[in-house]
Amino acid sequence: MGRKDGLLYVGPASAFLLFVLLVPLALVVFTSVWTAQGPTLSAYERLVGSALFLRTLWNTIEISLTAALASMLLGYPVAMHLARQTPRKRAIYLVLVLVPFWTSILVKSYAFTVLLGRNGLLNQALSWMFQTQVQLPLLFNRLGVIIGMTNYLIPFIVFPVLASLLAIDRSLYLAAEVAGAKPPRIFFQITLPLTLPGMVAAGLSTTVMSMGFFVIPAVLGGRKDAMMSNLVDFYTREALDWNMASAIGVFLLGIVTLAAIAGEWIQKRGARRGGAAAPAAVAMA
Amino acid sequence: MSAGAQSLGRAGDGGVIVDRLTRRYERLRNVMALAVYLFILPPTVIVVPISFGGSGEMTFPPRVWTLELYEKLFSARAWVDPIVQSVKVAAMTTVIATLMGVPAAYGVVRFEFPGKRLVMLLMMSPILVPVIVISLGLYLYLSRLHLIGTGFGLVLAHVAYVTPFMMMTVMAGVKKLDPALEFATSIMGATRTTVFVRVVLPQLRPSIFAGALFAFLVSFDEVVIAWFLTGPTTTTLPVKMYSSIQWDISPVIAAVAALLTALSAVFCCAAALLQPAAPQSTN
Amino acid sequence: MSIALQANEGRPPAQRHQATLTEDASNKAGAPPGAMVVFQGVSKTYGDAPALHAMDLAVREGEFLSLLGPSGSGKSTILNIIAGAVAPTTGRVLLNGKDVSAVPPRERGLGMVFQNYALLPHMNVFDNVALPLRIRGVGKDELARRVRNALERVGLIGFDHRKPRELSGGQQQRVGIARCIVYSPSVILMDEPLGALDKKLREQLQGEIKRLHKDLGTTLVYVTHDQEEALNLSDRVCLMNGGRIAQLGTPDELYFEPVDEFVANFVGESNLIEAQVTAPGAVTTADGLLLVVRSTEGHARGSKVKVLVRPEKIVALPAGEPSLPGQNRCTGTVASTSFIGGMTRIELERAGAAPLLVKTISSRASDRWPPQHPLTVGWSASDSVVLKA
Repeated sequence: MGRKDGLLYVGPASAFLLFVLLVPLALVVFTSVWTAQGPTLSAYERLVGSALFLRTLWNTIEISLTAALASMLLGYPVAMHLARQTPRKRAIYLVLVLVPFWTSILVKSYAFTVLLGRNGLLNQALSWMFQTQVQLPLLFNRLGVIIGMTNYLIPFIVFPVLASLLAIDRSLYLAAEVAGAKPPRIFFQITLPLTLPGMVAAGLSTTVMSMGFFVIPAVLGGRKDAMMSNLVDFYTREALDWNMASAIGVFLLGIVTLAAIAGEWIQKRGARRGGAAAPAAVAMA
Repeated sequence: MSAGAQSLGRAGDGGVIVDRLTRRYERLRNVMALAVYLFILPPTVIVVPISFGGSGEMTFPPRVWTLELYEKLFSARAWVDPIVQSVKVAAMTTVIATLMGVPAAYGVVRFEFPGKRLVMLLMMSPILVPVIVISLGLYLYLSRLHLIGTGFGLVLAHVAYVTPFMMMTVMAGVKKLDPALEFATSIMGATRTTVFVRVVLPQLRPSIFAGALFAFLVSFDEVVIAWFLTGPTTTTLPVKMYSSIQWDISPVIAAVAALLTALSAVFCCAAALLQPAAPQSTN
Repeated sequence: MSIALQANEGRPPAQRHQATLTEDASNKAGAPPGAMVVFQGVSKTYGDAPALHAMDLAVREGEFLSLLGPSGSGKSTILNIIAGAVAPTTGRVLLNGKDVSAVPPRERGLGMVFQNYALLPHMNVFDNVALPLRIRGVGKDELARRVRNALERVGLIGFDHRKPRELSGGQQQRVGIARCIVYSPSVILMDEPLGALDKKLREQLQGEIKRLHKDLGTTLVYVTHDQEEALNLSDRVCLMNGGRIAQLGTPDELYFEPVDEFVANFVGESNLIEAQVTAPGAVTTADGLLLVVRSTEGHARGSKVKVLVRPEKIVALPAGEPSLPGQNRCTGTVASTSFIGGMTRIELERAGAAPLLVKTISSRASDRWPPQHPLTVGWSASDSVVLKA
């Protein structure tokens, strides 16, 4: 097969993405440094000095890390449960994770508005259970955003961690058992270390994914819970300050790039440690 | 066998000796997993019964069972037009993305060529780059081309966004193909095109179909890019739903949500049937 | 060191006290004295398919027992049942007199070596070998001493800080063995430990395992599909076929006194000559050849039998000489000669009868018989074993 053959197959798609994706992204970078007065970094200067931006940045980091951490803590038991099923049962339980995974983020956010409101279904259920008026504030605040995000992110943790778990050689468990190891030791000395690269990769990708979220903070959060994406929206459509919007966009892009590089570095380390789990996990993440 | 431990027969495992201690830990794990399942399911599932509850107060279970919301939905142009628009955009997107994405997926897996890593990065970038940045870029770009608020502009944007998703699905299928078949066919004298059309494509049919379903669903559900690129006459369903949630909470949204959920469930089942999405154990 | 002390050492702390208490009681369970591993009526069925038919087995203390057989014969199932990885469908398993049918693997005090080594990839050699000792709460100094001892025994001094992926297959398996012996279990199980290694390495490690067994004196149950390996290493061989024991005996017994055709064919090469018993100690083949055999005991006159003659026991004789008493002789022509190194395989065609396989020590090509060469061969009655047809 000639070397140029490949180019023929990927040509149309590459050209398309070049013109419809790469150029717009370059345009964002360009717009962030070009105003009516010519090239300038004034947008970035304004960003650094803007209390709004700094507050939003801090919110974004806080919310993303919290949600990613929570989803890792919640997703791991599910992955463990799935890993220990027979393939047939696993396929059935996986449906419970797949259907939410395929459901639109808008639907889920809307569902949370129904569930988490002061008179929402959750509070109604709690009121009925405790026979008093329960009105936990779970919506239009930080808690609501984190709940919504964690809920959305869990499948993105379950899949790579499941792949990691299944990649572990089964005879390792029997070898440890025969040597006398009890379940806690097996978990902490075999399962956890061998799934750690996959977990870290998944955690990193979910954190980065969260930072770019738009719908969840918009629907479930209050004014104080706006994240970077909402800020971009504000500057683009309301303030019509495309210069600032682009600067924020470039900032986000920078973070994602750094995270990708960190992810590659982790993958290389994980592979050197002899865990086949890491590349599989990163590929899935 | 003595009391104190029982053989837990797991199908296919043939009965491993599991004692009380191990079972205690297993129970702990199962309880934790169950709690999480109960957390991730409700938001997906709850909209369906609610949508049958009529436009009164949102309760579960609904006090009445009625199709009132669906009637309102399908009789309102404000909702029907976006539905139609979404279908049109998603369909066009799927067709174009498939036409470009399938050969690209094959090319990436089969061939080596200069700049391959860059090409792969380019193909996967819509997944890696935050949607908001993509949306902003397309907004700036298409407004210069006067394509804001047009269906065409949105289709272009969605094709770019959806291509990596479709490609990943098809790439998985290509990796399962036996390259020896293609080589054997070319030895017999077939041209590249013939090999691709007569040997590769037929084998890839399930993957292509699954990828197309995936592409359609992603485009249909996509909200952020559409939010930036659509105008009042070209609104898509998710955009209409989003603005409705933000500004005019109408109970009809429940019906819309239920329909979208049904769509996702159907596509999920179809894709699952077409190819094993679940990771396989290596032992 | 007394055997009892050794046996106790292998078990994690919680079990030692219990074991001493119950040992006396369960010796009344009917276990043969001196038997380390006992199966009583053990069977294993997966759904409809029986992997193991009800069987009894007693592995003697300190013995090297090989479980030999083709794939699916049940040998791995037996090992997994001893280890506790698989629960038997019926029957009881006794370890050192104690009923362990309901005891999980971690409390059985066994050692196990795996075909794919099962070393923890994120731990170095030292930590891998030390794991069982850490589980048993052994103090730092003694732990280090015992780990080094074990590594020395398997010839891996100085490998402490290497990781498994830095080691060759043979080295990894040595680590697996070290991890097994470091806590002196009462029974060591080996599941085709040399299956992933190439021939030369296999032979080398076979010798080391044999030597190790002699030094340690631990009971060893060894699964293999390689009959040469089983014959070489074991005190006794348990040949399995289709979930049943085909024969349990010393390597000698299996080779020279197989009980049936399957055993005869599995262990070494064989000629199986169809015949009928015509007189005590004598059979007649279909083509009228009278053969004297070691014994026709258990086979009635007129019954159909197969006579086993090992190819290397057949020698070439000068033509025309009369048979000596106790000697069988027949003639044929050389159909093909295969020079495989030390031995030469000769296929001898006989008119009106099945060909005979003859194995001789090789001579140079010029001295080997060409095809179509007439040849007279003979073998003694004591090398003729009568099997049921």
